[in-house]
Amino acid sequence: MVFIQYVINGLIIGGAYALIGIGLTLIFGIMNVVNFAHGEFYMLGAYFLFTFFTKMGANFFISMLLSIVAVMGIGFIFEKGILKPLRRRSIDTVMLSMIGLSLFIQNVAMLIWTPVPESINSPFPMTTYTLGGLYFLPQRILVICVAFLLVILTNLLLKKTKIGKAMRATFQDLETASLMGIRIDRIYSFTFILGVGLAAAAGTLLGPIFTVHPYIGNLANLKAFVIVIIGGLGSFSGAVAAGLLLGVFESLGAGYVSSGYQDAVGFILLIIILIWRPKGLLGKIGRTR
Amino acid sequence: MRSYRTITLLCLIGASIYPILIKDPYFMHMAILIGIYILLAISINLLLGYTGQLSLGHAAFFGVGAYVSSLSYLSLKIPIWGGMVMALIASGALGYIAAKLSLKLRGAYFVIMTIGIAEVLKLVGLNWVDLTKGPMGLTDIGVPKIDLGGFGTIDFSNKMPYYYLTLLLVLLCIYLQYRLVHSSFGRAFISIRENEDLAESVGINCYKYLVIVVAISASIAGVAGSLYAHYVSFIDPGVFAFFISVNVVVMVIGGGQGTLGGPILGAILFTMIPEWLRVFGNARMAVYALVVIFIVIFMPRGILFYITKLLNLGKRTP
Repeated sequence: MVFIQYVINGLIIGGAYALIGIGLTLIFGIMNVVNFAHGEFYMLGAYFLFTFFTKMGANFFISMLLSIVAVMGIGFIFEKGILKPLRRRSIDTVMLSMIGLSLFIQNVAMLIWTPVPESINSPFPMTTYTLGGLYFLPQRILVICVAFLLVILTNLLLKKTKIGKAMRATFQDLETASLMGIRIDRIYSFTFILGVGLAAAAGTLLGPIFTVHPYIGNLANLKAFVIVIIGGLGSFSGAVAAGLLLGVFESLGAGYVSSGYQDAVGFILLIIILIWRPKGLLGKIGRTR
Repeated sequence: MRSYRTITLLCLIGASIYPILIKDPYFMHMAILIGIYILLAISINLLLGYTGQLSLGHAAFFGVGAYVSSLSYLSLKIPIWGGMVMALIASGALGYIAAKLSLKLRGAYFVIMTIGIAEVLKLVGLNWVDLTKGPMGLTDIGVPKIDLGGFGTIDFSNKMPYYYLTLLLVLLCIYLQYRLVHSSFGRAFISIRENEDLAESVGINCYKYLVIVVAISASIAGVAGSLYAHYVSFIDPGVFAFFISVNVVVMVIGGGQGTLGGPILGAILFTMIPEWLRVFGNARMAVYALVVIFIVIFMPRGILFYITKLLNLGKRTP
């Protein structure tokens, strides 16, 4: 029973991890940008929720929505200001600029919100529901529901809408797509905004569960990379599967081994998978970088 | 070529009389830190500048060097000299194993693998409390005194002798790098950077060469770690920080990757820039980040390249 409880807790956190991972994998797959600032958008999502909900006292769901929109706006500015001028530059230059950007966002966040860890109180009662010997907190139920909703919505967006089709076309062949009249600049902006929005959503979901401080983005970032590589770079379903898998393994690692090594689980998993299946669990794309 | 030699000689003289001219402990401290960063920058430069592989996990080797050297002093009473050799061997061995595992991959995969290794080691440093004292860190990491008989003693807890020790290691390392990249090894490295498939096709075993270069690079970083630990006499798992790895990569790229002088210039500049930015108070690191972005975007070939271009401007340009 304890085992199942661990697995369920892991799946809940893993749902939010999947959101971060999808965002990163979309940005990498479509834009070929290794977004080292991805975790910072997760951090910003959590901090905006803290400001709107805890400080200003707005409705929780409206605050969540506002936070995500605000982060998307910031993402839009950075995409136009930094990524667009760097479009034809080497992947390493872009990667280092994103590292610089991540350092910048972190330090600005520290100036605005101070380095003192804050907590966002859950708007839901702290009573646990029991179902067949398993415990559920309302906040955690919200996490898994919203996460799955967003995964399904993003999937529908990619599969059913016109812009989704254009994104997939860009992913497959940039030049042919632009020859067919797809405006690559728009697709790139949209992809980046969507990606960072998903990270921000994960931030608003996990913010009330963990504490919020300017450095939470670091770990979120590394986990996102682990997820994307385990799932296969650029693979949507891979990122979802790897996110859930990482959540479960971390939860089991913390439960049965030691909570201190919880964050190492992902990297150990990563190293094993890369030795055994370098293209990732569901990776099919033959990209080398 | 002659002007190049003159500049090198001038730098050498400047570096060796620096402590005599400048007695201020703050500037001595910065000079020693710069020396340690130069070692790290050379270590990254061998890998990134000459073979084209980006590692963002060099803090792993730096940290292992620092811990191995400190622990061998604290528990086995081995002085810094022995500790340094042990750091070199331990970091080199770790680099060898890490390279064997992660060099099956290139590009973003390799980068993430290196970060992963550093992060796992940081967690080990935090959680293996019996050995590393966890977040409390190791304290009282001593430095030796050398008795010169009738000529007094050299006490390495003073800044000046430690500066010369650092300088000696830096010069050794620069020489090693120079010899390495001008040997057949170095030509193999550069061919891997330029075109791996082509290099493979003329009979260069890229995997083998890359494993060797990672091991060498890691041992240099390990020595830097040992030097750092004995200098500040306190280390905690912060030596594995991602920021250290990033900072050194910025130094190498900002200074000029794949050159001998670039990483040295980069290490000096990027150790001093955060100090100069102290006028910004709390916003210092945010401004530093902007400087980093600016240099990466507008000076992709490194500052050294633009300086040499500027110096040649007066003369005829080919």
